[in-house]
Amino acid sequence: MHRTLRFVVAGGLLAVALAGAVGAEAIRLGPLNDMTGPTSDVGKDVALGIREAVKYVNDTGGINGKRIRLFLYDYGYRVPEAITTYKRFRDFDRVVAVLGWGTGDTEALSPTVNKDRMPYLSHSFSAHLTDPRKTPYNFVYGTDYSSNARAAMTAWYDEIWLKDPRLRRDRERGVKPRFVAFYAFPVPYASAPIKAIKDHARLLGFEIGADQDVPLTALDIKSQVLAAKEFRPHLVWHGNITMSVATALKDAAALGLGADHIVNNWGYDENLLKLAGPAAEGVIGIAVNAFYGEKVPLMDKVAEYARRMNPGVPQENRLIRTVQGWVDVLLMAEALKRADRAGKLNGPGIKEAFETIRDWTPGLGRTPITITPTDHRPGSLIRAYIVRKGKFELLKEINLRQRWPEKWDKEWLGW
Amino acid sequence: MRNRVVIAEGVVAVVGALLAGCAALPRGDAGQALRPPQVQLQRVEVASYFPYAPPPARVPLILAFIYNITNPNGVAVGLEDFKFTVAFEAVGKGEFFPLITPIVYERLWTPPGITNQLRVTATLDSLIVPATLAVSAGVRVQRIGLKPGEMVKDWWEKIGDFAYGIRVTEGTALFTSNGLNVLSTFEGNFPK
Repeated sequence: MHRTLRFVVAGGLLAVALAGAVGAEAIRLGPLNDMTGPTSDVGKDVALGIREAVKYVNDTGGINGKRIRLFLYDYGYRVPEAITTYKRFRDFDRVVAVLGWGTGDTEALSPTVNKDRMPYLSHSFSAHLTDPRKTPYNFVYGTDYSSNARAAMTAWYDEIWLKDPRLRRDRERGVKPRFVAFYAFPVPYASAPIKAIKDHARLLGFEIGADQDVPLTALDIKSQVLAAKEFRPHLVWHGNITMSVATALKDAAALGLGADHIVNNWGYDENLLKLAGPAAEGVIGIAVNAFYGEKVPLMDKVAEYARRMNPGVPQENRLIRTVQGWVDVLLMAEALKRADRAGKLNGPGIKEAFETIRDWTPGLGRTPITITPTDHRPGSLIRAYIVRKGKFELLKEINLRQRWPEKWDKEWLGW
Repeated sequence: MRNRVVIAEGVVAVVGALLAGCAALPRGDAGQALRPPQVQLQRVEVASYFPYAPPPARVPLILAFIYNITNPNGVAVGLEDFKFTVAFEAVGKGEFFPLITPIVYERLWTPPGITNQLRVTATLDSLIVPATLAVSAGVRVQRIGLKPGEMVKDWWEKIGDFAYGIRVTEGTALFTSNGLNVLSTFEGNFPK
């Protein structure tokens, strides 16, 4: 009887211990998102994608058997709130790394995260975050805004300016293409690539007109369009996000601006087609990975988890932003796995792991990512799309490093 | 001989314990044995009220959402994270506008067959909500002939009587039990 009792007690204790051990070790990760502020039209969808991707990672073995535990917070695109939330991540949630959001808050936090040695993978792709001599713990998962701007302008120059019959007369007369930029002057995201795109405009022989200040929340920008019209631009850069870009395209069409348009990645998504309608036709933009539902590896899982975890969000409302959330999480997961295998699941170890990534892609239409100890730009191959008949079509792949190797390696890093 | 018996007993105990442990483990998403707890919006409260003032004043509107969580399983389930989107009705227009997505990570255990309660507090900001409306629903707001600022004033002033609908959508709650997890989805309206 005693022996039987001993068996039962031992067995019970062991069962409890074993059951408790499953998933007990969790890796804490802190995403900071904008789900209510002026970038929430893209931020909410990203947040859904992050949560779904983390569930997928956990369902498929986690980080070498360890679960990711997510602490995702909305900060409403307010820098002070981001700073406060970062302190919560660091001091209370005790995360091993942060998935950050905007340019303003990421750049404001950069000195702190670098002092804290906290790996910080952001949705801001500001080039200011890509030079490890200045920001060693900052990483971005999408091609940086400055490279995007250079690539979009190059794609327009190669495929439209040099080829389009509409522009033949100007070309033959030796007219320089004229360029203006529409963006929110005080918003760090929007202003981050302006120096680079103007440098690129000069490189390609453009004439540059006056910038136009367009708020992120703009519902009417007729005065800015009329001001730009006096310069008779061939090309307009839109550096804002989707809703504001749609307003600009509609007002430009209504007032007969007569220019072509190129758009940074956060202004170019499925909602742009809905909001701008016919005014989106011919618009060129950058996508850092596949659009939602494109036939690319792993997209089936993205759709499956979207349906399973958020059945209240209609599939037709899902955006490329969901896919970006997945790329963000999968890149972080890859770095965490490498750091864990090396026995260094801590800030310096995760940073080192990021810097071992060479020609890696999670699928999902993301061009190969390379990150090195001396260059945190995650690749130089950029895809420019164009809207034709209400759909996105690949216009051109631009490899900035191949085309301008000297400038890529020696001049353009970090701005 | 006695040593062999002890070793044999030990092996039996370990195997038995493992089997017992495995049998006791609820199955998660793959096994479908762990049923999703039911999550129901019971009520919305004004947790703290500050009278509306026009910009540049910044006025918070602090609401509490009280949920009933019923566990239909034979094992306790622990809440891991809980999120939902809150939408307000444009007064008199019948259209809802999503404004905020609260997420909480409280560890809340619900025993088998029991209904537990969770209170989630959310803060809206009279200077942020117009921007949210503009970027996420600017065209829709224009179409119904309203302005974001007017909508905010109405919402702040009429919340005491709940003179407009509050809708909870896209709700998800992740529960764990013995290392496995199950997801519940929910929606709700207040006043009902």
